Amino acid sequence: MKLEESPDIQEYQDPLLKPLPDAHLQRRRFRIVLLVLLLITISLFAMYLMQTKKISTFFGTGSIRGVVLDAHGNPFKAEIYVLGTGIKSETNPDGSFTISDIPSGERILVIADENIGNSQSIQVIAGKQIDIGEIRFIPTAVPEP
Amino acid sequence: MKPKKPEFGQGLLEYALLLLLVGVSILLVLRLMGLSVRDVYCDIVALITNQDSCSNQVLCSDSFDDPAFKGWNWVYGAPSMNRVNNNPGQLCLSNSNQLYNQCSQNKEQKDYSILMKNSILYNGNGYGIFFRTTYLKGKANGYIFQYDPGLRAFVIRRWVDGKEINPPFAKTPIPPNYPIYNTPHDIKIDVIGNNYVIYIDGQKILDVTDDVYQKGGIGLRTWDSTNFCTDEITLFSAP
Repeated sequence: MKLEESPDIQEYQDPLLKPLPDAHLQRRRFRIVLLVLLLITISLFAMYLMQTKKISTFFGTGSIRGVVLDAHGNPFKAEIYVLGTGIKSETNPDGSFTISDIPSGERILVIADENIGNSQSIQVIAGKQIDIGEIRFIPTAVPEP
Repeated sequence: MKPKKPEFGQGLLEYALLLLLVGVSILLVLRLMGLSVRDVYCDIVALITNQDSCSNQVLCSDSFDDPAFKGWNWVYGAPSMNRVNNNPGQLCLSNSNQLYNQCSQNKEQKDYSILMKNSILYNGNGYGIFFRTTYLKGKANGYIFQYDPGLRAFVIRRWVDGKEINPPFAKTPIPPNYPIYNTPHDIKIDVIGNNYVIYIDGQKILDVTDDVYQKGGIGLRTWDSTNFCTDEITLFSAP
């Protein structure tokens, strides 16, 4: 090889081997992806719980009180159910009732005699007692037209 | 002692966690979109094989050929001999009856479709089909669809501890000039998740959601001066 064909010394100024990619950086990126995916999964799970109304159990319980009367305004001996919670209670002889430890959120309250029940929606607030007042029991399964 | 060689790759645990999170996320997205894993699996298999591998299976069926109606638990009432059409292979009920299909009660199925064929109301205030109902210790808990000219409506009620709950949580008026009496109708009820869809003769009449009851079988009920017959009732796996 002639001298003039030999490579210029400038070509050897850059290192022959490029530096290896930063393995720690790759690992960090993978963990960031994992963290983002974990956050997405948690968000989706929260949305699912809200959709199924099961999230209310995480937000504590509340209580309700009221009085059940018959059509003439006399105290009525009734069974009381909070649907979907397994809670069942009864009125006192004066028609009054208090039910505690109801999971918060919108609930369906049923006031019933031996054969018929009347249902109504109630809002249970965690840590509070809601007075739903007087409830007139309607002893028929045929609703008003 | 040899110094520990530094490791730069991902751990197996991290890859497993990645797969787990992806899987759970997909499941949750399907749930939120109201799709079942089974439906998606069936759709994919049908797409690949060009065959419907998940067609609805019959879970329980009764065409009422047994004159003793052994598959039914009669709470009150009895098969009617006073029916207008005294055909074999029919169940006819008069006045007040409440009965539960034992096959479906034993299965404790969550999701299914009910098809009741050629159901004819001859006269009276109506009949009802219990669904997702458990009948234990003399008490029914569940839902009932009511074909109810007495209320001039098609309704869905809850039953709690053997008590009929008022008001119905779903109701649609019976259209004017609707052939209520002396006309056979096919009643179909899709019970999937918390969604209940009622069809009469293929036409959707009610579509509601409710979270109270998660599983249970089927039953029938008539009341007042009803005269009612039906040819067949079948419980299919969910569509």
